[in-house]
Amino acid sequence: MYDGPIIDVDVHHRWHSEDDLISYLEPEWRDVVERPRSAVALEAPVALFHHTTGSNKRPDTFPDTGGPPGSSYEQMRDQYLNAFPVERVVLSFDIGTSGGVANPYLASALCRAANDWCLDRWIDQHKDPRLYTGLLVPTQLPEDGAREIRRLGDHPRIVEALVVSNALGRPFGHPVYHPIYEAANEFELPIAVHGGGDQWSTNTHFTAGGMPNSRFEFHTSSPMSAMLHIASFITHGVFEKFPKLKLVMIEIGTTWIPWLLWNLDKSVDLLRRESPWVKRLPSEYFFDHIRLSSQPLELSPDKRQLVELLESAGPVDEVIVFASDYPHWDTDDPSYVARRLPESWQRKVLYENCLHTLRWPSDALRLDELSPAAASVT
Amino acid sequence: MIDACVHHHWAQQSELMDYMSRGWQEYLRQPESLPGDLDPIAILPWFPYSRPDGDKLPDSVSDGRPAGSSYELVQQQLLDRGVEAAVLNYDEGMRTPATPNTHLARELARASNDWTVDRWLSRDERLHGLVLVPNQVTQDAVGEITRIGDHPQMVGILMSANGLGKPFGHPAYHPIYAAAAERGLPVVIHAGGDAILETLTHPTAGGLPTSYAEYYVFNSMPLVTHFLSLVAQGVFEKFPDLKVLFSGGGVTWLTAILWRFDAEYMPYRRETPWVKKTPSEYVRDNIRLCTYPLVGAAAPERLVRLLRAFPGIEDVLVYGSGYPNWDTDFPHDVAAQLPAEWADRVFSENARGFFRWGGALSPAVAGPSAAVGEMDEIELASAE
Repeated sequence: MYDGPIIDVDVHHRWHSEDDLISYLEPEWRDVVERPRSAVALEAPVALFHHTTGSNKRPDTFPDTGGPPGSSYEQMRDQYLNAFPVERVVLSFDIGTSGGVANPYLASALCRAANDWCLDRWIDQHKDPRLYTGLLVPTQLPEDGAREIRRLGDHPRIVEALVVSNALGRPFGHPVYHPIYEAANEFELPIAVHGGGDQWSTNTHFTAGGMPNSRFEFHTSSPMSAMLHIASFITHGVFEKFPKLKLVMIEIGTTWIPWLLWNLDKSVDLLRRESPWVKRLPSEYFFDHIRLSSQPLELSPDKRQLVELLESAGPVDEVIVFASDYPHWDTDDPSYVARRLPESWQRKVLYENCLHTLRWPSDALRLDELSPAAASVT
Repeated sequence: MIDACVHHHWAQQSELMDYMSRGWQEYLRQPESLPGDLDPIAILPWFPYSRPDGDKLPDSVSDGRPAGSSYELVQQQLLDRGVEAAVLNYDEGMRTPATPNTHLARELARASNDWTVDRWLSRDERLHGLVLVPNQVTQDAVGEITRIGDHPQMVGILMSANGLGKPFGHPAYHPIYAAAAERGLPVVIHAGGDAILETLTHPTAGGLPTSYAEYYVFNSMPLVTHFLSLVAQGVFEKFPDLKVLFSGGGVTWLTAILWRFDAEYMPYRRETPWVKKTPSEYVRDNIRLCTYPLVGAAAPERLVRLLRAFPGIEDVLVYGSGYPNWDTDFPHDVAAQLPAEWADRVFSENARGFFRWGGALSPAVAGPSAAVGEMDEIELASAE
């Protein structure tokens, strides 16, 4: 069984209360949201469909000290970081991340505050060498997104530009979003797109063919919009414009890869007519530029079926990067993911693929350099 | 050999309008119905994506007539090449349920079905039809099924455009399935209907595509939503004998979503307690996939490898050519991609078991096994 180092590309951290976030807002915005406090929503509501257990988090992740799951570093450390040979995790905020707030200027300000809060209260305060983070990018005003990347993009603990809310209702390859990619490219930061950003008051349809009637349908269909975003990056020539740019797609599973790639490759002649800047087979862009997080790893009746399906699409063992999605209800723990995959895939998926994808600082510590007490630095 | 997906079309709009009432002919300015020479009003809603090199097989267009509009050409290019039965699916006529004027939609559906019987089915017993239903007014759809569903060459009903802008499992559509199930008629859901501007649905999740290629790559995406919806909203518990064929979206989307769907079944069963089996079981019992368009990998063995990941898929696939679309799959195209031992089932047996052949029948319709929409009470463990 795999007992090597683990890199986890998707761990959700969260403020204890909104007041934490507000304390990092620029004064003029603090004024707006504080008077009266309840009048301005800081996050678009996510409970479009009720979760049948009342929360989308694992019951055992609610901190003993109160506050929402993901808000306690100590709980995360004891429950997850110390429980597995975790070398690095990428903090990716919690869902709903502010891009869908109706006031676009406030949306940008909230993203800036969230980044400052994260660097201050997680990275600097705990000094845990295993903690890295995505830079939350405001998307509603793409120029603000580019500015935010240029403001903080040099920080050594920031390893990706995290794009969540599809605030403009266009597939993410659309040229309107390119200023964000241009800035990330300058800083050699990969783009990470976290699934789910097509909901949350963005007015984007997050399903094709109509709004579903249950969370059962809605949650099952969540890879759909991500597939369009991938196709859009390719058809709008983002990887021709920025040949070194990498894209990590998070929390959308993997079994749709053959469906997507074969359809795209079949249409390559069409693409050459309509999008002449597409120079290569779409699947070549995919394997060269795109990585997918493993979670939620699809549960085939027999684990060989999943591998059979994935292998039909090509060398996907080079593409998948491990994500736990801690502390969500459907967290995949690393030993479970390792057990489901062939031995020859395990080190790549749980470690190497991500090691070669994100912008790690040169002084990042390896597992054997982490002191056993790394966790108790604080 | 049975071809489950052939698109037939009128040569010009007036050919269909001949089957409409005098009042509607005047409304639509059928030539000679009114003084003056106004052009007729276009009857069908707008479809926003088109392929730069043309949407149809080049040799299916002759003498300026649209593809699929000539019986002789269909006979020559398709039927006489060993087709025992072909199921006509309409072409642009599939947009009918998206027509904003619901009264016009009812008249168009009625005229289309009569035109199909008169101009096509009566000419060749190999040809079979699907009842085109104006699904934006449920009772109109039921009325049309009642009116013509017993015709001996009608073998199913066609849910094409999404008239209510809701996934097809939505309870508003259930009376249509009741009427179909009562007659033993299966339902064909054809891709493309969610792209029409008037439906208020989007053809993709995550925003609108900007090119035909993006549209085409994902035209199966709404089928995923409809599939999830039919299962989750309990359609197959309410109508256990109802069968549904997903057509026009190929075959690779089903396994892309099925295991995730199976895995979500237990966590979310409190929300939809009327769902009694895993989605995979409903696929085996109630759902079939039309092969058209059979988009596989460059190497056919990789497609087979993918398909085999769902054991028993050879009982689910039903051959369809998609004629006369530009990506028509003739039988040899499909045979070359699938294992020889699947051929009898894919090209014939599965379709034979799926459609209602030979006209009205009175099947023993099984009653619902679950009170769909009612929330069961759960027994709470006593706190001892």
